Amino acid sequence: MLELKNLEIELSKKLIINNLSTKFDQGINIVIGPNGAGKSTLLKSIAGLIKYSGSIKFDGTELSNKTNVRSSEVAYLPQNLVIPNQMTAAEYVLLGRTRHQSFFSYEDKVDRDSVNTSLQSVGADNLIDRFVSELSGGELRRVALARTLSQESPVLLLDEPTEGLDIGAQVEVLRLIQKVSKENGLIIVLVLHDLNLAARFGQLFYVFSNGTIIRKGDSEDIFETEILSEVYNTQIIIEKSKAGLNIYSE
Amino acid sequence: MIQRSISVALIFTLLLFGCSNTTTELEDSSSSQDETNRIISLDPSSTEILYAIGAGDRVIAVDSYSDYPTEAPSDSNLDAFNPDLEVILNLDPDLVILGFSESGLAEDLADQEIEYLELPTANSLEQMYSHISELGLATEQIDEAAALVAEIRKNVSDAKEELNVEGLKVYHEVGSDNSGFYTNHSGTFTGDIYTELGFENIVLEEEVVNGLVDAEVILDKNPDLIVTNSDDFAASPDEISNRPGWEKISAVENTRLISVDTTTSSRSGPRIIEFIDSIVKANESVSSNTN
Amino acid sequence: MINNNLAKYLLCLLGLICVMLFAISFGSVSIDIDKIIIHLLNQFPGISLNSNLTDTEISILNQIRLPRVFLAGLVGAALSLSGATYQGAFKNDLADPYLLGVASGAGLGATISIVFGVHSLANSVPATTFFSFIGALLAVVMVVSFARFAGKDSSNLLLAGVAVAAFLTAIQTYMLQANRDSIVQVYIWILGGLSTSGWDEVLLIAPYVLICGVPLIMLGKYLDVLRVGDTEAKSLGINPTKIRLTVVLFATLLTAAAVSVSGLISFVGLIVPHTVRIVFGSSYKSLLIYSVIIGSAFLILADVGSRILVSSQLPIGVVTAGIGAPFFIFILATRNNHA
Repeated sequence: MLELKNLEIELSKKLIINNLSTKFDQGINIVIGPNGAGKSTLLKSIAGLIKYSGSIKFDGTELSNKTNVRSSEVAYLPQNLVIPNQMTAAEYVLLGRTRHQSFFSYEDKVDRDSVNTSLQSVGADNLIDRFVSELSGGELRRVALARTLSQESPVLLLDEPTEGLDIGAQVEVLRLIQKVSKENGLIIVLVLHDLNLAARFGQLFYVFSNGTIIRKGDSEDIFETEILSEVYNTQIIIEKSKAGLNIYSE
Repeated sequence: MIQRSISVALIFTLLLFGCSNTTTELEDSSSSQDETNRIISLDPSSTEILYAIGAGDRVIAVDSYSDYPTEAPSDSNLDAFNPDLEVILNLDPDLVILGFSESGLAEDLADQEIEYLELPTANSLEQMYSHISELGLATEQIDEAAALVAEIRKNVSDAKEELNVEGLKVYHEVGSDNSGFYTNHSGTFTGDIYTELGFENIVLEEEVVNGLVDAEVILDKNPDLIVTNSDDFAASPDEISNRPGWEKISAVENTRLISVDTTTSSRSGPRIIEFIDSIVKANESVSSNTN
Repeated sequence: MINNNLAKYLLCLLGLICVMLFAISFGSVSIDIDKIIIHLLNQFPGISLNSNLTDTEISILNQIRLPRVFLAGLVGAALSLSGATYQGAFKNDLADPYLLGVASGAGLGATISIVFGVHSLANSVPATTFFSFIGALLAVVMVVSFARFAGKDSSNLLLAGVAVAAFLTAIQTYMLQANRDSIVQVYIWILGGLSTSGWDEVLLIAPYVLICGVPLIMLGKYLDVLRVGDTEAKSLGINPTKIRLTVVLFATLLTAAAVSVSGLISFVGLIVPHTVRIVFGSSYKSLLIYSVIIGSAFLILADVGSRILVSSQLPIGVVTAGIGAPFFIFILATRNNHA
C-alpha cells in the first residue's frame, strides 16, 4: 500500500498540493480532475522528482530520498516521452535496469532476461531491435511500459499514458496496463483526462481538485453528475448502459 | 654613374677572386676622397667591415641592428629591413650600403641619384672576401681591404692546420621548435667556415627543408662535434646532451660540445677571426675528452 | 550487449596496433619493418630475438618514434573520449572538448608563459605545458562558477563557456598585441604539435588518460540514461546533474592534460565520436570505448600525414581539419545504408 500523508508542494509561491492525504492499493487507481490542478505534480512528487513536505510511505516505509533507491520503489512515465535517436527498444528497456547494475558492471544475463520478459509481457518482443524513434505512438507506449516493468518496482505511475494515441491504440495500452497490473500485483496510479476511458478501465478513482483529493471511490461513487459537474465546472451528463458509461459535457 | 662603379667593382672582384695574396695598384684613396665622405650602412656585416678597413670615420649613420663596433652611430630610425627613405635623404649621404635588398630601397635611391652598394648576404667566405673588396673599392680603402682579406685568409689556413680535424663531422645548432632543428648547414656562411677549416658539415644544404632538419637525421649522421649558440634561442650543451636518444651520438658520448657566440659565428665580417679562434681553443679542450 | 561487442573491440584494437606499426615505420631514416616488429617483440619480458638494428636505429625507435606514436595515440584517445563525453553530457552532437573554455584558458596560459619568457619548471616540465594546463582548469572553474549563479541548467553552462572563452581570448589578444615578438611562437603552439622529448610528454599525459579515462568509460552507461531526458533519467535512478558534472570534470581534466602537451588540435573530439556513432551505433557504453581506440588511430595517422604530406612538417591541427572534414562528409553521404 502506498500512503500519502499531509503532502504539501509549493511552486512559485502557489500551493499546488495542499495537505493531501490518501492511500493507493494494488490495482488500477485513476486520478481525475481538471487541467492544471496539479495531478502531474502529484505523480512527480511520489516519483521523487519534485520536493515535497509530508510523508509518502510504501508498506509502512518512507520512500527514499536517493534517486537510485527511489527508482526501485517507484517507476514513472511522464506525459511526453523523450524519444532518443538511434536507440533500439532493447536498449531503451534496458535503461530500466540501471539501478540494478553496480557502477562497475554492464548488463548481465539477468538484465537481458528481464528486458526480454518485459517486452514479451507487453507484446512487443517483435520490436526488440527496432529504433524507438521509428515506432508508432502506441508501440512506443508499450515499449515504455516494458521499461517500467524491467525496473521491478511495486508502484507504477503513469501520467496520461494514452496521450497522442488514436482510439484503438488508447484501448490497447489501457488493456495492457490492466494485464500488467493483474500479472504483477502492482500499485498503478494513472492520470487520465478522458473520463470515459477512466471509467472503463479503472478500479478506484481519486478526484483531485484545489490541491487535494476531495473524493475517493469506485465507479459508482465517483461518476455522479453533481460531483463531476462541480469539479469540472461544467454540466456533465452521464449515461449508463450495458456497455458501460458514456460521459460527456454539454 | 652607379652602374659604372658597380661594374668596376665587379671586375676587380673577379680579379681578386683567383688570387689569394694580391694587393691592388689602383689610385690611392686620397685622390677621390670627396666622393664618399658620408656613408650610411644598413647592413651589420658591412658596418663592421667598414670600420675594419679604416672607413669608419666617414660613417655617419648605421642601422639599428649594427651593434658593432659600439662607436658606430646607430640610428634607431634606420631599420635594416624597413629603411625609411626620408631619414636617409635627411642625412644627405654619399654612399648607402644595403645588405637586405628586398625593400625596394635600391630603386628609390637610384631615383634620388644617391650612390649605393648592394651586398646580398654572404653564404661563403669567398663571397665575404669579395664584399670586403667591393667596400674597399667604394670607399677608396682598397689596400686596407686587401690586407683585411689576406689577414682573414691566413687566419683560416693557420687555424685549419692547427685544428687538423680532417673531415671531423660537425653539427652547429641554432635553435629548435616543434617541427625540428635549425642548423648552420653546409650552404650557410658558418657552414662554409667549417668546411674551410677542414670539418665536414653533417647537414648538407639539400637535406634541409624550410630550414629544418629532423632529429632522426642528426642521430643517423652521428656528428663528432656539436656546436651551439650561446643565446637564449639555442639550447645549451647540457640540454643537448640530455636529449633522449642523443646519448649515443659520438659528440655526446665523448662530451664534445661547445658553445659559441651567436653574432661572431654568423655575421660575415672581420670578427669571424674571433669565432675561429674560439673554435680552435674549444676544440682543443674537448678533443681530449673521450668516454 | 557488451559481449557481442568484445570481438569488435578486439578487431579495432588489432587495427590500432597495425596503425601504430605503420606509423613507427615512418621517418627520415628508413628502418625495415620486420626489424621493427622484432624490436617491439623484444620489449616483452621473456622474448629476446636478434633484430639486427644498429644502436642509432634503436635510439631512433625508442626515443624518437615510439614516444611520438604513443603521444599521438594518447592525445587522440583523450580528445575523442572527451568529445564523446561532452556530447553525451550536453545531449548535443556538436559539443566538443573545448566547449567550456578549455581552449581559451589553455591558450591564455601558454601565451602568458611564452610572453613572460618562463622557461622550464621543476621536473623538466616545460613552462607552457604547466601554464596551459592550469589555464585550462581555471577557465573551467570560472565557467562552472558563473553557471551556478544562473542555475544548474546545462544551457547555462554552455552560455557561461562562451562568455568566459570570449573574455580570456580578449586578454590573450591584448597580450599578443603588446608583445608581437611572441605571436609566432604562440601561434605555433596553438596550431598544435606532437613533438616529443623522449618519453617525457607521454609520461605526463598517461596518468591522466588512465585516471580520467577509466571512470569515464564506466560512467558511459549513465550517459545513455541521459538520452531520455533529465526527468525520465531521474526516475530511472540517476542524478542527472551529478552525473553531468562528474563526467564533465573528468573530461575537462583529460582535455586539459592533452592540450597542455599537444596544443589545440581541432576536430578530433568532434569527428571521431560522430564517425563511431555512424559506424557502431549511439550507445555510450560502446561509443566511449570505440572513441578511445579509433581516436588513437586517427591522430596517429594524422601525425604521419603531417610528416609526409607536405615537404615540411604541417601543424597537426591543419591535418586533422583538412583531412578529417572531407572524410566526415564522405561518411555522411554514404550513411543511407544504415537504419
